[in-house]
Amino acid sequence: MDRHYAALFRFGLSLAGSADAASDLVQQTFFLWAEKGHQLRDPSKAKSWLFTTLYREYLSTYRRMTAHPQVELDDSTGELPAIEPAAFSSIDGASVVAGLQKLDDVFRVPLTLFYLQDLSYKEIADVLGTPIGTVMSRLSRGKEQLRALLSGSDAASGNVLPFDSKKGAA
Amino acid sequence: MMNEDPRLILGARRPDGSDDSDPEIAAALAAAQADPQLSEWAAKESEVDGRLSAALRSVQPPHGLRDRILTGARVSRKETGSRRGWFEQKVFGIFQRGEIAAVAAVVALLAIAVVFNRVSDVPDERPWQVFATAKAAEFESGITPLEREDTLFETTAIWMREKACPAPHTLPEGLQGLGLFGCSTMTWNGKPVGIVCFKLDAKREVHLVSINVRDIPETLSEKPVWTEVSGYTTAQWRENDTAYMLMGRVPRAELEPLLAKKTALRRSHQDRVHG
Repeated sequence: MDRHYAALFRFGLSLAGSADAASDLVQQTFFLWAEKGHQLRDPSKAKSWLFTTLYREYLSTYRRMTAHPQVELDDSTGELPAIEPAAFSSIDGASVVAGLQKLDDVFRVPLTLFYLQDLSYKEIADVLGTPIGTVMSRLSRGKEQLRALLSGSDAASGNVLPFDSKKGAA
Repeated sequence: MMNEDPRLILGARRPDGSDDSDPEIAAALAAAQADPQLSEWAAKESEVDGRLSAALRSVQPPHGLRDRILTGARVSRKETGSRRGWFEQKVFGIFQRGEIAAVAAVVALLAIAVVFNRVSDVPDERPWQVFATAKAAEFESGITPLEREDTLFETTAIWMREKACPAPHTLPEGLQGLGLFGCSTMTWNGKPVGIVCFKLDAKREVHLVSINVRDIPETLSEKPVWTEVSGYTTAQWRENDTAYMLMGRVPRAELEPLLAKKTALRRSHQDRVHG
């Protein structure tokens, strides 16, 4: 549990937008693990199971509370703009979470899992139930949007306001 | 002109390099070596990803979340048939919390603390007994595996001491009749704590916790003192430089016989060796 609960909390925070809602998601995930985890035949899949379960709990519990517009996806990517690492030298966690919150779920979810670095892109595809190529293109598009958000505001210098703590619980 | 596939693939490469043995990633990295423009792009991409990743991973969970997880796991094990009601209660709780101004204020402060990463390295304010019961619940629920599986007390104690963890010098005689199945070493506010686990019967466990007396605030008696801690029946006592707590989610009447007589391990071991 110690190995995964912090990463699961961060994933839940990015999904639901509040520490309270993220904590509930993590608790529910481990609750289900205590009930069903022993049924998992391959222990190496435990990490993916936990992230998948948290994501499904989010979809079934929180996402239905808010109306999400359908987004037409264009999976083709254009040329990425030049990126300068120095622009993100003082970025903090609150800014990244706030930036992720502004992305649509289709980009936010794979991008959060990618930045947590707990899962490979193939494992992310398994968690989301999407083809690997789709994950790659959404990571590319998501990064483009996130960087534009962060570099176009005070976020890159660490001055962005924290995420809305009520989102996801309303 | 960059090749589209290598760029997409390299964009999915974790900045810590843990994907570099992946065949697709490896091929894309090889392609980058032959393409200076792609190589430069990939290096910057990885650096930016690394910074954003480090920032996201610096966000700390709220203090106390671990305990709440364990409480949920305990409910799951005890009342598997009532999962639906428990979860519904939790969801309703989300709304109810918002109605209580004082609680909401605390939650808001906690959220702010999380955002600004001020809750890391917070001392564990729980008494060592409460900490130990929380850890025992983790082991019982299977959320955290024991560090070592062993059925022999002698080798268990040696292993714990090798890890600079206080291990029982003496074993209550009643416990010697139970099936020892493992142990773990833990840290409570930087102080080592040991736990040895026994099967009381097919479904129930008891645990013997050990900690150096200098690491706890209270002075324990050599005579066991019985008290309940977080739903566990516990007996606490000291022997020389080590404090002990025997605990289990069983009535005191079932634990008491386990402490009826204490036998020095070293002596009993010598007796066995020398006939």
